[in-house]
Amino acid sequence: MVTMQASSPLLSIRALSTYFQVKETVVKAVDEVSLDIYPQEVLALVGETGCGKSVLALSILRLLPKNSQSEGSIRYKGLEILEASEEELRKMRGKEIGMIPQSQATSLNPLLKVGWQVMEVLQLHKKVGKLEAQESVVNLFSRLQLPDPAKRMNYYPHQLSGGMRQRVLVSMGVACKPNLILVDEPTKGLDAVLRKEVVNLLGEQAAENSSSMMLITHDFSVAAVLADRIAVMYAGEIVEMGSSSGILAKPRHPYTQSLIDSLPGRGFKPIPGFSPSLSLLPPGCRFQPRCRVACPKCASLHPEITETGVNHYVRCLYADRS
Amino acid sequence: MLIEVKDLVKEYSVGIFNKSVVKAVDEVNFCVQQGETLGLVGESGCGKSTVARLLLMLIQPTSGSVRFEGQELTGMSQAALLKFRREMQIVFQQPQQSLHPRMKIAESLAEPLQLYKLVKSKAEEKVRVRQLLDEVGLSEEHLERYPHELSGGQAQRVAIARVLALKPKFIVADEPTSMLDVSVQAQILSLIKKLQQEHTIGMLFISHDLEVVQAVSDRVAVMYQGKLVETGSKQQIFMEPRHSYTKYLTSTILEMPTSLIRDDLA
Repeated sequence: MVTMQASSPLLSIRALSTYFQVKETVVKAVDEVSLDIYPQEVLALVGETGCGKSVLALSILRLLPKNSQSEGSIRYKGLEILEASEEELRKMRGKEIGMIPQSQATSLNPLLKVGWQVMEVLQLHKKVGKLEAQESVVNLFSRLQLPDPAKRMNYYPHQLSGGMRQRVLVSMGVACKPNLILVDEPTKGLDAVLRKEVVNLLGEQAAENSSSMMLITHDFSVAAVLADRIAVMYAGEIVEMGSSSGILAKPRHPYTQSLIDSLPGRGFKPIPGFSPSLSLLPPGCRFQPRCRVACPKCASLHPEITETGVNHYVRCLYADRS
Repeated sequence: MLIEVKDLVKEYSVGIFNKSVVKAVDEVNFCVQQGETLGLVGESGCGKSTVARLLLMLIQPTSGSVRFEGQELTGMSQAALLKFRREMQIVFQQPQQSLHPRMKIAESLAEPLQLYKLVKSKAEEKVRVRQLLDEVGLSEEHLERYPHELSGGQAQRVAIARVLALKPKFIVADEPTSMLDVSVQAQILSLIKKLQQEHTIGMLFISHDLEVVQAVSDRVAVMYQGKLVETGSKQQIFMEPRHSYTKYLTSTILEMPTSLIRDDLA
């Protein structure tokens, strides 16, 4: 954990919007998102399924399908990613910005040995020979405490347990020691024992390689353990952003408050209603139909995100009320 | 006693010549009373779901006994089981996969009613389907949709409505929220608890999430490698665990640093 304001950001996103063309309609999955990630910082992006978290991560790597379009600016170390060529992107992906994808069950190629899949990343970026790559993979596997690493290299994904596959994915993500790792829902569907293990693993990796991390999760307890700062997303927008301690101890946005209160250890209070469909957003504040403190004004005025404290930003008309 | 399980064993043969035997469930004993929730916790692969399937006779046990209201279920014919199937229901982990992809929600909800002849006319069926929708917090607009047009939480509500349609006395909930968001999880669990109390249903609640089990159960059983290692009241399991595995499990709860706990909750 570091104090981040000392240096300039590693990744700087400004007014990023990502649209999808679905039949005749255009859906805005990410709506004017601005955020910075500083060197060695862990930023957690927290929100429910469908709020646009994963689309934001994929926008950063420009890995979205053809029917999508991104506007705004994503600057990484001076490179404008939205204007970068395929060649520049290929050099950046995996080496500068690594990604640990969401589902360990479906993210590995079932027909290739796992060792080979990790070697591929190394050979692509580092111009190393086969033997050298093999050695690095064994090294990586043993660092991630995969039992019997030399033997595991020759296993196919289906021969590994969920936890082992997750570690293979982590090893792919960190193989080239990227400066920034995007981690998408690393604990989804894992049991409590594995969840704790994966969380520790990610923390260690980030610290060891001094990388920054963008951690995507719906689970505040994971964010609380790993993150320096937390950004909360709802229906495509960031609704609150601040230091982890600030957000968890004094959540300002009613959505953040409700999300924390819905944790099993924190009262288990459900949020009424459903998250809105991105093609059918409510008028005014997007959380207003489910908000416990909404008033008539909320339904007509769409709030801007404003700074309410030191590096604490909230998108609510009544951010100062609580 | 609603459910009584004695010395339940399920063995699987493995290897090319079926030479070795794996005990997926190993001499498990427990009971569930009317209106009570027994939580079953353990890691992935410890045999929790096998227990669920054995209880409902979806698979046959190698040995041991399962009694429902005193009636022995093991060895019963499929025809004789049909009556009990109505009273013992299950909510699965993957809501979208447990609904028929080509059936509209209205059809899915009407199916159990027709199967067990619980309604006499189309008009009565319609009324009952509406009633079920209302109970699980869905609205009429969802009736004409297909499962893929619902969110995970909504699909799980439909699965719960199908279970309720049969007015069961006993429900197995097999990881009903592990694929759902934390916020949706709270919605679904409070719904299950509410319905359980309204209809006095006994429940076996299977989960790997200790905090969830703690929130919904009256008693808790801890499973490890096919065996129950500890059974006790919720307070005892979480406050004074005796078995070393239970102690280990409770230590894996991701505790938020106390400094981060909100002022009004501390």
